[in-house]
Formats: sequence, structure tokens, C-alpha cells
Amino acid sequence: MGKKGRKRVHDFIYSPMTGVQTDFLALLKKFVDSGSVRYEKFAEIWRASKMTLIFSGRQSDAEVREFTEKCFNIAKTFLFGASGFQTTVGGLYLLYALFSKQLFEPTVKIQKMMDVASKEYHYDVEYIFWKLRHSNAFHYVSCPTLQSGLQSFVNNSQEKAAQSYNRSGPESLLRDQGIICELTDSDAIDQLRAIHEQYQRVKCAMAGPDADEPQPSLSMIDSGIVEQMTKRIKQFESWKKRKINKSSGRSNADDAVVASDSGEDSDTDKETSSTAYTKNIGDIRAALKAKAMSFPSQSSRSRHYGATSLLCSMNKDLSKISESCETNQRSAKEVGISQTEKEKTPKRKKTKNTEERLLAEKSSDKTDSQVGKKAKKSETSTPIKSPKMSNESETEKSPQKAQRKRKTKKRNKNISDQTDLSGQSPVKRCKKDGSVDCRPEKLAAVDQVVTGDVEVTLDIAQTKSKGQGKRRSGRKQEKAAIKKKTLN
Amino acid sequence: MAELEESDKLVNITEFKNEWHDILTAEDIKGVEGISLHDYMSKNSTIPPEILSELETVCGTETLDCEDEPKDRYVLLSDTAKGTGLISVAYQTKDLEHREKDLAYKYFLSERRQYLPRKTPWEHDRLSKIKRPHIVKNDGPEVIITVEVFRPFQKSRRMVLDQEFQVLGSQKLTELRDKIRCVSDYIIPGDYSDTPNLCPTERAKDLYKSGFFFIEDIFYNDLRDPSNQDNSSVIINWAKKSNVANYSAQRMEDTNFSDLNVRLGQPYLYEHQGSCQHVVVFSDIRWVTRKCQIAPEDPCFYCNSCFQAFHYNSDGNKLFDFKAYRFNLEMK
Repeated sequence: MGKKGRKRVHDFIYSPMTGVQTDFLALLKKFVDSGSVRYEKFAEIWRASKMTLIFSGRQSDAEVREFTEKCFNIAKTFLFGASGFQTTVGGLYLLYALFSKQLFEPTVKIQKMMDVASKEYHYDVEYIFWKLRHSNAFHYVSCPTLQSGLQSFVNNSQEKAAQSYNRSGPESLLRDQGIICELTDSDAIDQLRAIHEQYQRVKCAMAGPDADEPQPSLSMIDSGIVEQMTKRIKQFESWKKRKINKSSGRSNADDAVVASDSGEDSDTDKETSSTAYTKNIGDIRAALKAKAMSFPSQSSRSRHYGATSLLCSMNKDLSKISESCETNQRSAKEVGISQTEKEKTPKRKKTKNTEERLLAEKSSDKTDSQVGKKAKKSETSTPIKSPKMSNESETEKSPQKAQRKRKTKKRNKNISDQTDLSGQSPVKRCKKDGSVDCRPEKLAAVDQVVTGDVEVTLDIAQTKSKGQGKRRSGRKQEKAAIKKKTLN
Repeated sequence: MAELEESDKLVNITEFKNEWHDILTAEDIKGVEGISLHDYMSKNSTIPPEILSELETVCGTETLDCEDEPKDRYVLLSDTAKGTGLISVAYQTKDLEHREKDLAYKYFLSERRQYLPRKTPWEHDRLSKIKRPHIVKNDGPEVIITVEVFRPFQKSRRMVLDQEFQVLGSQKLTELRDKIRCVSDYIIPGDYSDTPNLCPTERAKDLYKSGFFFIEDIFYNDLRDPSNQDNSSVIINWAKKSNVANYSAQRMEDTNFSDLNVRLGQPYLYEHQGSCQHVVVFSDIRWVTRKCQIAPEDPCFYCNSCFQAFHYNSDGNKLFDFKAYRFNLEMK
């Protein structure tokens, strides 16, 4: 290496996005815990956790712009993540909040994926979606993040920075864990092997039709790179285990640092940060998922705009959610499997799905009848109960009208239930609704992309840098070995 | 090979255009000028009109205002807020402290931004000598494709992003080719020992006009000039003979970007002057929608020609609302 003698410009490595994921997760966890999908609730939590201040201290325009775009990318993972209806709604609200709170004049546009599964049946959700669309918030792109992977990989200082900033820090550790798991679970290594073999074959072909080995001038890469990578991953795994065992004591100290920085030692704060640290991000998302799955039982507690229409939509959603969750869980292992195979596999799970759907319908029927009873008991109880309500008096004036409306809605709901049972695929059902274009199997794929996108490139950088470190530390041993040889 | 990610998927640009066409409304493409939010909602959504006015207050942006939030954006941006409990803010505070301590780090960061402040505008004017970029009329649905061109690998051992272009789906590959600037095009060929005082007028690009793009196993040869050669034929024959792959060739001047199949992020090849090889990457494909604010930051420097092209239509009218100030460097 020619740059051996050059002085390092900085020891401190820049990573602007550290902590953002954790903050967003904490916010969404509070939202999911509230058991509501209302925007009001979200805004309340947003204000309570002072999320606008996330932009503070990002000094120049260029910095804020870059930061905001990356924030959008993270927020998108919740929207497309298919980890439950509430999280999806929370993700949409988060995007809306970030979009309207961003601080510079030419507004950064949210890159919008092809299969935005916008299942808006709640009016506030729908309102916010269309408002975003009205304010030209979306870009219509073919890939969720900008594909400058090559560039960033090559001059990987920033990427390297992103993953090794505060390497001792618990968050980076957790993130690494996710990345490496993804690398080992998916067929990335196999893919690398395939590419490498093809490369080797082409090089041999260049040497001549009968040549077995490539020309020595073409040996730009180690022929055993795949074996080396697997070896290094194994090394990393063992290092990580050691690190986690060590840092279990230290994570408390790190919490203390954050708390002293924030200057606020409220219980909720401590709780979220400690959960974020001790638990794996995957666990948290699984928790969100589980929370969302148990949603229908709680739906009766929360207030809805147009309760009945909501419940019928919940049915659909649940079936979709359960399916997408399953595909999501599987997707980690089956990324390599092509689309056609994916379409085949749900058949096995179908029986389970229908069971779940039936269960859900039962529960929703219950809640439906409860709502009906409520409506009969107290005619004045309107479906909307917001403090700032402007048209409460209107609905009060015509309770009978409202009831009639509800009845017709209920009838519609029954019809839609029947169609539900007729065993149509969720894809078709969605298309019936008109503007909504939702493909559950694809959703899982989207999740994969959004979360996996940058991280895969990071990964290689990570293993690379690890390798360098190793090499450096191993240099002494090598030297010793050489000395021994010469002595012999 | 199995598909790992969405980004590995082969994108046919025309198909991409058509897929979105079914979903987008006219307002998405042409902008929503003159259509109020209320009208837009009642047209597109299923929200009953009596709820709409209430939603406007419930879901307004004011609901997101925090108590002790500075109203002035410069105050907010200048320093991190205290007492937020946000982990990201705590980390940013740490980072700012380090910037104060280590100026080298601070300048290193400002150089490495994704959105760099424009280099001096006059330089751009002088170098590129573009009169006014060719403006394509955008009537129908159209996509915009971002293409990154890297510096040739032989010239520097590192991969360096050299130029970035945005092209429309309806443009020809040759239009991009003509815009890629590379030193090897400007080499002065020939021996001048006999006529040292003669001013050279001919450059390599005037003599050797052949070149090709190599995208997804297809060579796109520039054969506009009758003197141009098909540089790809050697490679195609070799590949066939040694059983590496089955490549094919097409003409660059007959191919639009919308005819291409590309994978985003995949490195492709641009070859010219016989041996000068650039890596070309398609990084983004998106729909062209109106009212795109293009300035990356505020204020933003433009050279005259770019400023004119971006901000005014052919009749000299402003395209959207903006402010422009003159900037002068020459101290005369």
C-alpha cells in the first residue's frame, strides 16, 4: 500500500444516521403501544418526544438535505416493512411529519416505490396520503434508494464510517449483527461464489481455449476469496459473542452518557433506550409485529372514523398482514427463490390463513355487534370524538341519518365478507378497490430491499476493514514466521 | 442466477413507464396548480366531505409543532437542542464537538457531502462552452434516468465518479455519448516536429469517432460517421469462439434510452478511442413530474446557461417562483 506513511486526517469517523433508527423505533413503539391508529395520537407522541428537534444541529443546507433523505429512507422501511397495519400507518404518519417539518426550501421528495401498498380505509390515513400526493411529495421511481452503491463502495470512507463509528457503541454492534445475519442467512455468499467462478472461467478462456489457469498478469483477486470471507465471518461471529458478553455490563454506562447528554431522565426515555440497546432491532420489530397482529381485539377500544367500514377493512387487512408477515419471515431465508416459486409456496399456508381470517371475522363480528349496540344505546355517541370537532353538532342533529348510514355500511360489509370467503386471492381483492394496488408477496421483497440495500454494501466493507485490521495485527506474526523460515 | 434484491432486477424502461402510467393521476404528472386541497381530496379520496374540514384541523401541520421549538430555521440548525432525549441528537452533539476540535475533520466532511455546493459557476461556463442545453418538449409521460460516468480505470487505480447526467427516456444513446467529456478525446494526434509553429486544430475525437456502450450483453456501436468501425465485432467473435457468452450488437444512434433493459447500480461499459474504458452506472429511473424544485441548496450558484435553461421557458418567462441575485467575482 502506497499510502502507508500518510498521516490519517481524522480518527473520528462520521456517521450522521447513528441513533435515528432507534429514535424512530422508540416513537413508533409508543404509537403501537397506544393501540390506536389515529393521527391525533401520533401527533401527541411526536410532540411529547420533541421529534422536530432531530434536525437540530445539522449545520449546513447540504447536511440537512442529505440527512433528511436518509431519514425518509429509514421511515420508508416502516411503511413498506409489512410488519403490521399499525406500524405501516405509523410509518406513513412519520413520513408526513418529516416531510412537513423539513427545514429547507426546495423540499426533498420522498422516493416512492412502485408497490406502495396503501391500504387506506381510515379517513385520517387516507387524508394524509392524498395530502402528501397533493403536495407533490412523491417521486415515482423504480428502486427505493439511489443506486450509487458502486461509488460509495469504491470510495468507501463514508460507508466504512457509517458502520464503524463508535464501534464499541452498542447500536453499531446491533446493526452489524443484523447485517451479518442477513449475509449468512441469504445466499449472498453463494452468489459471490457463482460470480467468482464465472470470472475465473472467463479469465481462463482469455488465456486460450485449452488453458486451465489464467494468466498471472490477471491475478487481481485472491482465488480463495469466498473461503476467506466465510472464515472472516466466522471470526467476526466469535468476536461479536465476546463483545456482547463484555458490553452487557457496559451498555448501562452508555445509557448514562446519553441520559446526561439529553439532560432528561424520565422513565420512558430510559426504558426505550435500554430496550433498544439490550434487545436486538429484529426483536423490537417482531414485538411491533406481534402487537399489530393482536390489533383487532383492541380496535374496539380505539375510536374510528366510520367504525363499521373500518372493521370490514380490518378483516382484509388482517389476512393481508398475516400473509405478508409470513412471507416476510420466510423472505429472509428465501430471498434467492424466484417470484414464481414464491407464488407457489403460499398454497401450503393457505389453510392457516383462512383459519386466521375466519377467527378475525368472528372477532370483528363481535366488535361489530358491540358497536351496533352502542349506537342503539346512545344515539348521540358519534363515531368521531375529537376535541377540536367542528361538525359534532351536525351529526347530533341527524342521528337517525347516521344510523341509517351505518346500517347500509354494515350491509356492504356483509357482502364484502362473503366475497372474502369465496377464496379470492388478496391481490385480486385489492384491485377491486380501485386505486389501491397492493401485492403482499412483493411487499416482503420490498422490505428486504429497503433494509438490505445499503447494508449489503456495508457488509463487504465491514469484512474488508475487518480483514485489514486482522492483517495489521497479523503482520507481526507473519514477520516472525518469515524470520523463523530464514533461520531454518 | 437467483435474484437477491429488487435492485438486481432487470428494468425495461418502457415497461416501467407503462406500469406507473396506470397508477398515476393527471395531477401527479402535471402538478396541482390551481386545484385546491379540498377539491383534490373530494375528487380522489373516499372521504365524506363533512369530515374533510374537520380533518384539515386535526391533521394540519401545526399539530406537529413542539413547545420549545425554535421558529427560525437558522437557530435550529446552528446547534443541537438540549434536553430532547433523542439518541441521534446526542450523537450529533458529539460530532459537532469534534468538528470544533478538529478543523481537518470539519473540512473533510464538507468535501464529502452528497450534495456539494456547486464549484465556481464561471468555471463551468468556460469549460463546457454550452450555449444552451437542448430542451426536449415534455408532453406525454416521460421518465428521467440518472447516469453516472466514472473516470477510466487505467488512468487512476481508484474508481472516481467523474460526471453525472440526467437523460430522458426519449433521448438517443448518442446524445449522452456526445456529452461525456474525457481527456483522451482531446489528445492531439500526429508528429509536429517538422512544423512546431503550426497550431493544431484536429483532436483525437475528430479523427477516431468509433465507440460503444456495452449494456446487458449488447454492444451499442456508434456508426453515425461512415468512417466509424464496429469495435465490438472482435470481442463478439472472441466470445463466441471461446464459449464465454453470446453477445450481440446494435447501433447506438438507433437506440433510445427507453429501449434499454438495465439493472440499477450495475456497472456497464463505455469504450471510445480504442482503449479508453469508462464504467457507466444507471443509478435512478423516475417519472418526470412537474414543479420539481431543482436547486440542491439555498442559495445555489448557477452558470448563466444552466440558470436560463432551468428557470425560464423558451419565451423567457419564469417557470416557477424563485429569487435570483447576481454574483460577481471579478474585482474591476
